[in-house]
Amino acid sequence: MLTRRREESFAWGRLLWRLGHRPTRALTECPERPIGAKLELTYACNLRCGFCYTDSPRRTLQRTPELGDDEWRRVVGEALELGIVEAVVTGGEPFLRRELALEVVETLATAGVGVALNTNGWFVDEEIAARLGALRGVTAHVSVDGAQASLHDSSRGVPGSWRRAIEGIDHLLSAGVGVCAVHVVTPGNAGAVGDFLEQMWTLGVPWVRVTPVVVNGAAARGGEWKVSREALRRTAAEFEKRRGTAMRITVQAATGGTLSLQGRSAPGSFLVRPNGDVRPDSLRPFTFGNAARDGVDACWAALREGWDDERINRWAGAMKKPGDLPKSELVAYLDDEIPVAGGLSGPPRRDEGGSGESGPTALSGTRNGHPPGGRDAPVPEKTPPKPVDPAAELLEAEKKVRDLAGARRYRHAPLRWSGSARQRFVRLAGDGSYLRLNESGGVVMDALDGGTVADAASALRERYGLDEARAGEDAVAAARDLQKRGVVMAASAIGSFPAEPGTTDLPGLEPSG
Amino acid sequence: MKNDAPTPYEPPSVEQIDTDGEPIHTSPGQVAS
Repeated sequence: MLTRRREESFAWGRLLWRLGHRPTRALTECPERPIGAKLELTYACNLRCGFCYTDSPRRTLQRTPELGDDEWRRVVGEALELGIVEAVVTGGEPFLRRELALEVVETLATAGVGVALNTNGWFVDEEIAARLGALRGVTAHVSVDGAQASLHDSSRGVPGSWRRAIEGIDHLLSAGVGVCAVHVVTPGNAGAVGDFLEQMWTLGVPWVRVTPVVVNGAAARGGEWKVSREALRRTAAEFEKRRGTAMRITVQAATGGTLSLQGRSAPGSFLVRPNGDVRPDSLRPFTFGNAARDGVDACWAALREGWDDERINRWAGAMKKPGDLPKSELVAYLDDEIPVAGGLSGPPRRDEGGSGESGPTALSGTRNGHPPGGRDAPVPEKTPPKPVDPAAELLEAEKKVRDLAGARRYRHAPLRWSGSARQRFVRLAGDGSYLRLNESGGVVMDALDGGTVADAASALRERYGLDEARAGEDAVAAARDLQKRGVVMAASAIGSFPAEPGTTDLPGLEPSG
Repeated sequence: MKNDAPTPYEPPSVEQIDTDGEPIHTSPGQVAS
């Protein structure tokens, strides 16, 4: 209840902090060394979302210069030297810099850093999935805004993007990569969130995050974004009542409520913009030097020194509720950032060959290397999807998802089992835990030792004479449970154990507790 | 399993057994002397 009031009013957040109700993860002091880093590898994106919090479509049109590959390599190396344990790799669309994105994720994950990788899924093919599947501790967060193409494609502004996202998720799941499907909820698609949850469950997605729009960046130019978080929580609860908890559902507040704690809760991580500028996070448009020019260590020192700077406190303190975010004189990602330390910084020019020379090359006529202000800048037009019969389209989408999920092959994780046909006991080698399966659970488990969910449905039909729909539905449900418990995993997964959940840190992440 | 007559159908059930780190049916305390 208190958390919900904090979502509606920043004053409540501040009051609760004073009364000692502090989020469990909140830090009162900036740690000597950063815990994590959010790396925005590129401004560019191939989609045209009207709510894009990083305002990437505008940046794509402007071709805003960004760091070269070598500069990013150095930034990542310095962040590792400082000891980060978690990272968010994002954009824009990070796979527009495909090799760099893969290399950065591989470097971080190989060093033991937990990685959340944000992508729209368009460019995720079998090769990308296989390279990510070879790593531990990586979760791909893939944007999907609905259970059918017309909802997603109109939201994302590019026809074909729903299909690419769904196929990208299938590639990732087939390679054993941890996946979180992220649904940005708007008044246009809020009524179909229940269908979306069903579809992600059928597809085999282990984690879904449902998030209202954070009114930063492009969203702050206008539009109606408000949706009922209470209704979203109800939809999630109804789904869990029907399908159980094998698929984790997070309903994100996405109100920017952490701004209420500016000056109180200290940052534990930093964000690097595509031009190298360092900020505390996505919500606060204040910079503390440039990682490529000044070095990550110096930027972190500046952030430790200045995170509760009076200018930031005044800016955040002027906002009383989430609705004030787009009305502020300074809106994150829409307006130029204010330098708190390090002065005005320009991005080092990106080397054409990707070798990336560095240096503070301020571009003429720009501030912070950006064209001045984003409020009146042109943005690319969305391409509307073709008109369709929504009911027929939904049926078609459900079939596509069932076919993809039904064809995915699984194998057993390292385990032993004992018992009889009626009941079996399974011991998982990964964590030594025990499971009890009934007879039909055993039938599905056996079918998934090298087989598919479609094979499991056939096995149930054959043994019990079930009709096709019932067998299909029960096979999916059992497969989800067996995956969640770590009994089965994607057959092509390179590791020996099921994918681990990674980290997440997106704007609007509400303080817990 | 195929040789056994199937029981009446019940939906698949996968239940975690909370063992608190102990073996489930083998007492770790009984060591042959």
